Order: sequence, then structure tokens, then C-alpha cells
Amino acid sequence: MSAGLGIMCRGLVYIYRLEGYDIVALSGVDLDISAGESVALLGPSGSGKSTLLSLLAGLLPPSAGRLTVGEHDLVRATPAELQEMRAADVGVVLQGASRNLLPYLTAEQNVRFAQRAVPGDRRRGLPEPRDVLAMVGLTGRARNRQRPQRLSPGERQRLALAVGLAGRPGLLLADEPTSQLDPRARDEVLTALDAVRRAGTTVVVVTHDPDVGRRLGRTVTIRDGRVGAEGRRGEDYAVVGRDGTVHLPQDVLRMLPPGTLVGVEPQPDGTVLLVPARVDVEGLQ
Amino acid sequence: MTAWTVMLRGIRYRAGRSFVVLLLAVTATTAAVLAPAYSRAAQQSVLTDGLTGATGLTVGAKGTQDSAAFLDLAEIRLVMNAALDQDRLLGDRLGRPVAAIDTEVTYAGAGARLAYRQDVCAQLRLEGDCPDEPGEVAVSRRTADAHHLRAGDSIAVHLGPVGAGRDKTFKISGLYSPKDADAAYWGRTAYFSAGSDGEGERADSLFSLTEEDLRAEPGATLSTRLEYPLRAERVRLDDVPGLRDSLRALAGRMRSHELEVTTTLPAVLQAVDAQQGAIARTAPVIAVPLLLLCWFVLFLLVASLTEERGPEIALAKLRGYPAGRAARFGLGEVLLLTAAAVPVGLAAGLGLVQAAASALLAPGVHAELRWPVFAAAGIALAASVGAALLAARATLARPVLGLLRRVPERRGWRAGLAEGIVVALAAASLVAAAGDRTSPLALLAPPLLALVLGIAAARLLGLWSAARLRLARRRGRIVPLLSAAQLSRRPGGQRLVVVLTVAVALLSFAATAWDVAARARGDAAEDAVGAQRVYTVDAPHPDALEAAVAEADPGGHAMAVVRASQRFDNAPIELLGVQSDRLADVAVWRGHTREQVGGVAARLHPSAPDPLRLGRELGAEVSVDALPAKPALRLAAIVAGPGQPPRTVTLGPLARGTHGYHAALVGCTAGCRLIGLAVGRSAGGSDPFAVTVAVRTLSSDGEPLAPGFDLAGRWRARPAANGGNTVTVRAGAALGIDVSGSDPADAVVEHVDTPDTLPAVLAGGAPADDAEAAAFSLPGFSDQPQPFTVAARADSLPRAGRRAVMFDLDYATRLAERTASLADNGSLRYEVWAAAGAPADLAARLGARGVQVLGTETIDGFTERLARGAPALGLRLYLLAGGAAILLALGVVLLSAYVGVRARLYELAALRVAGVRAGQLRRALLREYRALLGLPLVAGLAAGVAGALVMLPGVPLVTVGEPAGSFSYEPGFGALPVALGLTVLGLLVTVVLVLRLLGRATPPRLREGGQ
Repeated sequence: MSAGLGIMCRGLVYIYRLEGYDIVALSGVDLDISAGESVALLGPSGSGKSTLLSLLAGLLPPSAGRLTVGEHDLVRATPAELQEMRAADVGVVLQGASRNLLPYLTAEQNVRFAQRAVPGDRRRGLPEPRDVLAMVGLTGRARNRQRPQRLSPGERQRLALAVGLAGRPGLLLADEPTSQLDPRARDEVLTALDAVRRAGTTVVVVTHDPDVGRRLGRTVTIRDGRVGAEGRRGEDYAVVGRDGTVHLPQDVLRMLPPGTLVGVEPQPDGTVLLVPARVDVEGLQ
Repeated sequence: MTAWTVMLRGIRYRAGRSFVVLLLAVTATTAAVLAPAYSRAAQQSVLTDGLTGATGLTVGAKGTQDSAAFLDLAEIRLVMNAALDQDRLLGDRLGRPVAAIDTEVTYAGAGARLAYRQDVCAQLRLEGDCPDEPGEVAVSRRTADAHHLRAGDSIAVHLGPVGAGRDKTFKISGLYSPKDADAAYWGRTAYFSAGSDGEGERADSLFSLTEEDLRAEPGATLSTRLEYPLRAERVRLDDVPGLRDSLRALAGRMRSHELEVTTTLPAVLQAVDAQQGAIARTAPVIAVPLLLLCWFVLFLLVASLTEERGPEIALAKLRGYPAGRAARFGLGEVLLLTAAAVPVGLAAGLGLVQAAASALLAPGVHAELRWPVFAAAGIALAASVGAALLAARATLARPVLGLLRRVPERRGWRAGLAEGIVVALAAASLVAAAGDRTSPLALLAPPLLALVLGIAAARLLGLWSAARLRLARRRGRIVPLLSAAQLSRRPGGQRLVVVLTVAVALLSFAATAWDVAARARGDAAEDAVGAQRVYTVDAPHPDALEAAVAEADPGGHAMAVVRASQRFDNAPIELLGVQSDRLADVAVWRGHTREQVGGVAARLHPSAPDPLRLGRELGAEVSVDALPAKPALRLAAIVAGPGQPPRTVTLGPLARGTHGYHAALVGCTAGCRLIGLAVGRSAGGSDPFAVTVAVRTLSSDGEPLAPGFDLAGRWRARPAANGGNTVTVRAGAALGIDVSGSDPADAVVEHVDTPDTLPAVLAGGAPADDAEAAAFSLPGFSDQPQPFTVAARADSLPRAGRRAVMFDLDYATRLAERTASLADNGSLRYEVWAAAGAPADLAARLGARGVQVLGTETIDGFTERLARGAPALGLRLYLLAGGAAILLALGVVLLSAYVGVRARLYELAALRVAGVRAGQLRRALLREYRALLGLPLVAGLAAGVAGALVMLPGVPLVTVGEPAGSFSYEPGFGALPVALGLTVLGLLVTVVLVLRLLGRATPPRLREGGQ
């Protein structure tokens, strides 16, 4: 496995331009992911996490901001460079295992199909498909010669991961790899992802499942097109944006609904106290 | 794992779709191959048919001793062998020659041919021996019977011209009768022509196998020749230019040896050229629409398949495949199948042409594997690849996420522009067709019209289904709702309607054209042949022909016909003398019932007295009250033997009082006819005279004749050329003839045994200044102007065409023989027309009576020949193309069901889960396909039939170069119902397959997902 690739997003904006109107999917994402790190992108539906994943994969061009993956500047990269990046450095696993697989090829052949995209000089150093499959826990010669529809949903999802890892990428992007899986299958997938991470590959996973995020170590919550919060080892943190904005967690938002005047009072111990303004303040609520 | 593995596994995974793709690609290649392969075979068929009737070539000379005609046959053979050794092309195409020498001789008072013909005894049934030895001849059994000859007798034969030459005695080695007088072996020489001609009796040929016997008299005119039959089956199209050159070269080479080459091959090849040209012009007109349809279908096919494979292509791009490799991955399967279809399509096309050649074309014609066939297959492949690239371009260019979303493409402005161009082209072609139906743009009118109707039908279906959908929603009826919803949102439905409409239109056009042409061929055959069987015969004269026919067919199912050609206003007019009493039973006259023909025939033969037939002697009882002193007068009779010129027979010098006058009629053994009586000078001079003669009786061979003296008009004075004498005829108990004047010519009183003018049926305008004239004059069977009255008019006459005159043979012969000998008239053509009830061996019976059959035509045979002519062969290609188009369309219907079948099954399964019953789904599917296939079926049928009716007057249906509008263009009911039935059957089978395919929509399928 190649060394993991770091990710750097600065003020990343993406706008879907539809007929007659635009939708801002990402409105200034600042995010750094270190090489070899595992990150879960969390957030409600429509928050922009899948869009962010597509941007990281070079499938969508950023509307504004800066985005680098390893040495690749995705803002300036041409389509051919993006294609080369996906061939050599970035593995992508789409939501829904079957969408990642050619149904008429066996498990090994699916992996090899993905490896054929890797440029010739690097391809020679790629592991054998069975080794890639073994990394995600798919062992057994007979099973690896089965077509995808003969595999269990969990196996199929792990096969999709293997296909994403076929080119020994430095970054693995996976969209909802555990959705529609039973707990056991989910655990198998998470174990596989952990193995990938341990091998040095940077892993970014989009998920709705907070448990998955916790298993990965770091969570990044995307909310309204921005990084709203981060979690490290089970602890959630608000993230201070470059402009000083902070996304408050939902439970705090219930206490401090939008529009509430808050006094920000730094404390000697290094903490910051948020003090809501009293309602009898003149001219204020 | 290689890219091939991926492709092959993909093909196998999509086995049903792949098979349909292969079928469509095979059909496209087959269609492309059909045009050149079938054209080639059809041209070869026309060539073979044209050459089958040709006579090959004859090399020889005709003349007396100082000419090459007296060369040994071996010498001529050596010269020819040397020439043919140098020209292998010609040598290989000619059969083994038959050496022949013949010369005119006289024996037993009859003219005949003394003939040497190689291996003649193999062609004869001999009673006795073959005349192998010098001085021996074989005599025909018929001639031997007539002259009481037997094998072993000696006969004196006069060699050389009458009055010169010398007699030579031959021993009769045997008596022969030909095994088959019409066999090709005998060539074009009439060896068996016993009977009498204008110059006297003729006997069948005498055969000798000793060349020297024929060259015994140096003054005799010999025809010495080698007759080379043509091996028509060996002459291929590529040989034709070489053959032309060879024939020219051979003629030049033989000329240096004083030998002449006689052949009809150049003329035959020229006629064949015209037909081949017509086929060559027809093929592209048919091939272009079919190929365009193929490419359109392939375009749709690839577009659909590539669209369906969008997610797979997206995967390749997602994994980082470069654009080119992703395109190869996306198109590889289709291109591989298309390439694999080339040899299969090539074989199928050639097989189809081979089957057509075996069943329909001339014997020996087969599908040829030539470069144009490979070129067509190559072009089809290149065009298919081009169509595939064009069709897949949009999909392949889409980004990964676009491919994964699978959002249906919106209808673009390009589609509207294309439709506008098609409509404009169709309008232009129809305008062109209104001006000149044969222009290339006009010939594309039917397919363009079909395309426009297809587009209109597709639009109509969209609007109709949207309206039905709204209605069904309001009423809450599930079956109409499901079918209308599917029809209104189905992306490929409209294109399917267009393809099916065009395909049905092509087939309907072809079938309608075939039906109209088949009827036209039947009509043309009836017009051209005139009766079920027509024998072209060699007869001495009309009377002999009539007598032979009467004897050969006592039942009255055959009719003697004598034809002649005249010209008026520089245009030919065909004269047709028929036996009017047999006309209705024998002739096939299109547009006329038997009763109508009988009515016309009756008008051709108004009643007239029977002719006065004479035996060996004629007697007359004549009273003369007063005779002038000078000049001496005589009474004469004008008689004519059958076919012979009229002659004046003197009955005796006129004497006062009542006397009997007699004359022996030499040469009237066969029965002469009394044409009239003549009063004239015994010794010439121009002294005026006046005499009154009363003819009381006429008798022949002692038997009284029935001259009808008491009937007014039965006898009349023949008008003299320059005024002549004054002649008055009085009817009564005795025929009174008053003659006065000074004309030296005889005053002739004719027995009127014909109408004054000859009633005739006229086709075309009257040959007179006024085309509508009720009477006209035209030389009939003689050179004298013959007055005709128009008894009826017709558009055309059987076997004689649109500018012809038909009249009673008997009356025409009697009228002509008053002044001329018909046996001497070489311009008369003799035929025997036979109805179905005539004896099957009529030809043999006629031959036995001295009427040699030279050729036979039948309506069926003529129709069959027309069916192998260029127009019919072209129309067969139309049918093949129509069939191929329908197969394509059926393939598209199937494919449209296969493409996206998983999503459809998922939808149907979801509907089942939602509570829609399986029966309702099935009914909805049936309803959907009924509209989807029914509308184009009706539109295509209408477009095809309408296109045919518009265009057929500009398309040769029966013969090349026929005038436009020669036939009735009403649609027939032969090929069209069959084609329509087969199409409907094919569509039903397709629908059944689709139902079976979609019948797998069960709820468990939902677990597998919609992808």
C-alpha cells in the first residue's frame, strides 16, 4: 500500500447550477486531513458530505476555494490529470456495493479490472487481486472466483472496498459503505477499513452512522455546506472557522436559538464562556 | 484477464441483448450484401436467359465451286480450331460444332434439300440403314409415302440449278422420321418442309453422309458450315466484353479465309445490356433506403446499449481509465458483435441470393463471391462503426456522475432539425415525382414519405397516450393508466414507431409493386401471346394452313392466323387475319368476355355467299343473241387455286345461240375457286364492240354450281383500271352481261363471295387522314389497297398490340386472291393459336400435315419469361429488402424490450407489491404494445401502398423501356396480404417474447434492486 495522502480544503465552495437557479452545496469548507488518517464525514442528508467526497475524488470541479489531495491541486488539474489521480492515488467506493462492481466478472476479475487503469510502470508493483481481497477479509479461492451476486451483502461491500483499493491508492473515499448492512456485516466492513488505515492509507468515509464515525477515530460533521463540528476519539468539538464562526451543536442551539445575543467571555483557565444576554436589556429581546 | 475477456463476459452476461444486436448487425450486413450480390445474380440470370435462346455462331460459306463453300469441312474445322485455340474464352463458351452442307435439289418433281449433317442418324428414326456409303441417301417416311418410295429404291436427283446441273442417282438406304424436329441439333435450317410453296411442291430433305455427293455438281450452290452451339450456362457476365471482342476478331480472321461468321450474339448481348442496365439502376434505389434504415436502427441500438451501459462506463472512468480506453470498454461489445456479424451477414446474404437464384433465376446462376460483395460488407461495417461512434459519442463524453445518475436525455433541438430536414426532403421528392417519376430524388419518395408518416405517427402516439393518461387518471382505471403512462414516458417508443413504420412501408411498397407487376405481367403475356398456345409455323399459304388446322384439330380449339405488317404515316400497323368462327373459343383478349369476343367475331364475318368451288373441269351454258362481226370474242373464267395467282381459263369463242362452253382446269386437283367470268377479244385489238351474253348455268365436273344468278348483287362487274369497257350485269334466271367498248382488256364479272369491304376491329386510330374514320384502305394480304370498314374499336388486339387491324382470315384471303398469289407473298407470317382444349400434340399433327412448327409460345411460358426479366428481378430485390427491413424492425422491438429490462422488471415487481394484479399488468403490457406496434403497422401500410400507387407508373413493371402508365395500377391481393400476415405474425411472436420476458416481474425481484 502506498503512503497515505493528506487533504487540504480551504474555503471550498461548490454550487450546483440548475436550470433557473443555483444551489450552494458547499459554502466554504475548511478541512485538513493528515496522511494515514481515517475520517468519517457525518451530517444530515443534503448537508454536502457526498458532494465533498465527489470533490475529493475529482469528480466535480470546485466552484471556489482551494483543494489539494497529496500533491494534486484539484482546482487546477485537467480532466486527464484527475483521471490519472484516480488511477494511481485515489480509490473511490460509491454508495451501494453493486454500483462499484461489474456483475459479469468474478471478485478477482473486478479487482483486476480496476488495476488495469493504473499506469503501466506502477501496475507492475501492484499486489495480486487475492492479496487485495485478503486485506478486506475476503479469503478463499472459490469465493473470490464468484460473481458479485453470489456473495453476501457484506462480502459484496468488502469487495467494493477491495476494488477501490485495487490500485493501492494513498486515499480511499467511501460513500456510505455500511448502509443497508446488518451489524455483523457492518463490523466486517469497519474491520476492513481499519485494516486499510493501518496499512497507511488515508480513509475518508461518508456515513450517517455515528458509531462508524467513532470507530474511525475522527469525525467531521458537515452542516449547511460547512464543517460544523469535529469529533476526536468520541469527543465532539465545534470548529472555529477562519472567519471566527462557530457551529453550535444541536443541543446548544436549542438553548441558544438563532438570533440569541451571546456574550463571549474568555476565562482565565483558557475556556470561553458563552453568556446569553438578559431579555430586559433595552432594545433587546 | 484481458480486455477481450471483459468483452466476452459482458456479451455472455447480456446474452439476449447481444444476440439481438448480432441479429440486427447480421441483418444490416445481409442487406448491404444483398444489393450487389443479387444484382449480379439477376444480371447473370438475364444474360443466361437471353443467351439460352440464342443460336451460337455459324462459320461457313455459300456458293458454287469457285467459293469456299466447296472447301472440305475438315479444312474449315482446322481453321476454326486454330482460331479457337488462340481464343480460349470463345472456344470454351462454344459447344461441339455440327458440320453441315446442304444444297437445293429436285427429285420426284419436288424441290428439296440434299443435306449432309454430322451424326444425323442419331437424330433420326430410321427404317433401313444410315446413308453411310457414297451414293446413298435417307428419305423421309412422309415423302416416301407420297412418292411411293421404299428403302433400296433408286432415285434420280437433279443437282444444281434447273436447266443446268446434272442428275445423279442415289440409292435409298433407309426411310427416316426425325426424333424431334424442333431439337436444337437441327439449328435454324428447315429440313422438314414437305408441302407446297409458291414455287411448287416441296419434299423433306434427303440426307447423305458423303460430302463428295453434295459437291458432285460444280454449278450447285452449297451452303457449307460449322454450326457451333453456345454453352449459355458457361457465359458469365465478365465474359461479355471479351466475347464481343472475340466475335469481332473471329469474323475478321474468317474473312481472310473467305468464310463468313453468322451470329446473333452481338444483338442478343445488346438487348441483355439494356436489361442489365435496368437492374443496375434499380439496385441502389432499393438498397439506399434499406441501408439507411439499417444504419438508423444500428444507431438507435448502440445509443440504447451505450446508455444502458452508462454505469459500467462510469466505473471505468471512476477507476481512472483514460477516455479512449473507457470508450473502447463501452463500445467494445457492440463493435465486436458488429464485426462478428460481417462474415455471418456475408454468408446469409449470399445464401439468400443463392436460394433466390435456385428458386427464381435462370438455371446455373448462383451467388458470386466478388469484390463488390466484400466492399458492401466492408462499407456496412465501416458505416456501422461510424453509426456506433456517433450514437455513443454523447454517452461516452458524459462525466462519471452524469453516467451514474442515468437521467433520461431531453429531446434536443437536433432531433427537431432532423425531422424538419426529412419533411423538406420528402416534399421535394414528391414534387420531383410529380414532374419525373424516374429521377433519383423521386425514387426516394416512398421511403421518405414513410419516414414522415412514421414521425407523424410517433408524435401522434405521444399526444394520444398523454391524453389517455390524463383520462385514465381521472377515471382511476389502472390498465389504461399503466399502458398510457409507459407509452407517454418511454424514451425509445417514438423511435421504435418510426423504424417500424418505415419497415412496414418498405415491405408494403414492395408487395404492392409485386402484385401490380404480377398482374401486369399476366396482362402483358395475354396481350403478347394472344392464346394459351401459339405456334409460329411455316405454311405454304392461308388456305393450306386453315385446312391443316381443321384436320389437326377437328374440335375447333385451334385457329389459323395470318399476320402481315404495313406502315401508315411512318408507323407500323399490324394486320391480323383470324378465323372469326373460332376466335371466341381460342383467343385470349384481355378485357373481353367470351361473349364479347363472339359478338366482335360475328361482326367480322357478315354473311356472304360461299365461293364457287371448281373441280377439274368447268362448264357453262351461255346464250348469245347477237355477236358483232368483228372482233372475235371469247368467254373465259377466272379461277384460282389455293395460294395460287388467279388465271384466266378460256371456255371458248362466243357463238350466237345457246351453247355449252367447257374448259379443263389443269392443276385444280386441290380445288379451285371461280373468281369470275370474262368476256373479251379472242385475238386482241381495240375495235369497238357490243355484246350481250346470258349465262344460264355453271357446272363443274358435271355437277351444277349454285351461282345465284337470280340474286341481285351476287355478280358484279370488276372495275377496270383505266375506265375500260362498259359492263352491265343483270340478275335473273340467267346472268345477263352487256359489254360494250373498245378496251382490249377482258370485261370481268366477279362472283361476289365476300363483303364489299372487309369488316375490321381497329386498335389505335384509323390509318387515314381522319383517325376516327369509319372506313379506310390499306394493303391487306396483297399489294392492292383493301377497303376496310370499322366494325369495332379496341384499345389493343390480342398479340398485335395497340396499333393493329383484325379481320376475318377467310374473307381477307378470298379478297386478296382475286388479284394475287398469297403463296408468293413472303411477308405473310403464319401462326396457329390454340386454346387449352386443343390437342396436346397439335404441333406434331400440324407437322404431319406439312405445316412445320418453327416456334411455340404459351401465356404461362411468356409470363415466366417476364418474371425473369429485369423489372421483375428488381421487384424481387424490393421484396427481399422489405423482408430484411421487417426483420430489422422486429429486432428493434425485441431489443427495446431487452434494454432496460431490469429497471422495467423492478417497476413491474413494485406494482405487484403495490397490489396491481398480474393479469392487469399483462393487459396493460398488451395494450401498450397494441398501440406501439399497431399504429406504425397501419401507418406503414398506408405509406407503402400510397407510395406504390404514386411511384409505380414511373417504375418499369414488365419490360425495360415500356411506356409509362402501360398497365392498371390497382393494388392486387397476392403478395400484400401474405407480407402483411407474416409481419403481423412476426409482431405477435415478438410480443409473446416480450410478455415472457416481462412476466418474470415477481415481488422477490425487488430484493435485487432496480439496477
